[in-house]
Amino acid sequence: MRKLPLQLLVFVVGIVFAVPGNSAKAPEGTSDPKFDAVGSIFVLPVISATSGRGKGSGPGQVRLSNIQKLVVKELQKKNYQAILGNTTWSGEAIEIEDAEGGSRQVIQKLGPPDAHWVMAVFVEDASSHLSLNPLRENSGTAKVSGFLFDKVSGVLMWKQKGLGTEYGNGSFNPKSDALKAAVDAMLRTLPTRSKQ
Amino acid sequence: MQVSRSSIQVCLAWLFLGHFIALALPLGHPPATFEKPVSGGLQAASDPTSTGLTLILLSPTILIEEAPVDSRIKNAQPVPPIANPEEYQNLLMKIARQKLSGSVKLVELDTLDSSSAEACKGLIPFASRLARGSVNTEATNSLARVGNGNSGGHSAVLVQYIDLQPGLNHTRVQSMLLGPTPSVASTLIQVALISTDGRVLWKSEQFIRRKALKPNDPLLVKAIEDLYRDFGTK
Repeated sequence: MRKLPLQLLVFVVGIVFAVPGNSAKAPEGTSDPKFDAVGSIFVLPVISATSGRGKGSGPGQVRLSNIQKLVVKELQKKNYQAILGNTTWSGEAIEIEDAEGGSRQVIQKLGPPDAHWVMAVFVEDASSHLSLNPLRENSGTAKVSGFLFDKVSGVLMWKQKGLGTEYGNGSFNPKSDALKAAVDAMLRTLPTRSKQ
Repeated sequence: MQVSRSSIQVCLAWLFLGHFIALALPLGHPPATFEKPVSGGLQAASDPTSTGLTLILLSPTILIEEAPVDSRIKNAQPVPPIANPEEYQNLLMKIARQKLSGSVKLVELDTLDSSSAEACKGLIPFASRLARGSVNTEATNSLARVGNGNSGGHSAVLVQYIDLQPGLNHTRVQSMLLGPTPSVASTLIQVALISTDGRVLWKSEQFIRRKALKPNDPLLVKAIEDLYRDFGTK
């Protein structure tokens, strides 16, 4: 009978170590000659596209400009030269369907006239659930979409959605952390540019 | 005070067991929730029921998004398709007919003349934005053509749209081992009544977080019925 707790401990420790950790990553985008030719990417102001998703589904206290800065940082990690654009739209922002459609007229209106490559990012959903229950932790989920356009050719080069969740890390701002995870997941498939 | 080795082992065992149980129990999963519509109800100037409205029911657009893959699971299997989009379309059309037939004159797509039917087809690519009340120039042109159709003209179209986001494909064992993970699944249902001159007469929406609802789910039926709760009341 005295051996039971020890056996239980070994069993539980075994299970805990058997669970794959969060560090396992999906395969990253490999280099691609088409993307190696990409020069400076102008990152447009991030657009909130949370219409219809209810109160609290938007970025909320998370500033869209922070997500824009995060995108710039992540692009730089992938060896792209990323330029932080204005933090707000001077005219009317494009809608997500316009980006999906990727029409030449829409693409050529994006960003400054001299920009060659332009990236648009939409926050489609961002929510958090804060809990006072000690058995529940604060959680957050987020969904973003990104589009990379070649303005000169008027084509959509790359698009990807990213979903992010935050749970179990004792986060005080799960919405912000979920958004970071979503941006990370979104840019994971963007090919890494070869160092030149 | 002396603490025996076995008592430390017992304490540690209970600590691990407690932690394991806390992770395994579905206590951390908040239930599926309905978000209150941001701007449900009649949006525009006129009450559609007071104008003897003739309404074309467009074929609903169903978007089933790609399921996410959990990077913590090796060789994770993609989530199987939720359901046939036609089942969602049939449900939306059935409820729309039930809810609207008393207040407006409904016109089915297959009874339209070829010119109006063609113009209605031209609206389908814009369904996602029209359903949330965003009318662009191209859609305005198609709406005008519907209005000028051979059969004497139609007053408005009903655009219906569902966006389904499946969640992670965890088995029961994986859920227990990985612990509670907030679900990214969701169901967004939007519907808008747009006049052939491009005005949004009414729109409504429902958002269900943490669930990609199946067509036979009573929650989905309730959510669609709730869309029409304040149709023609304001």
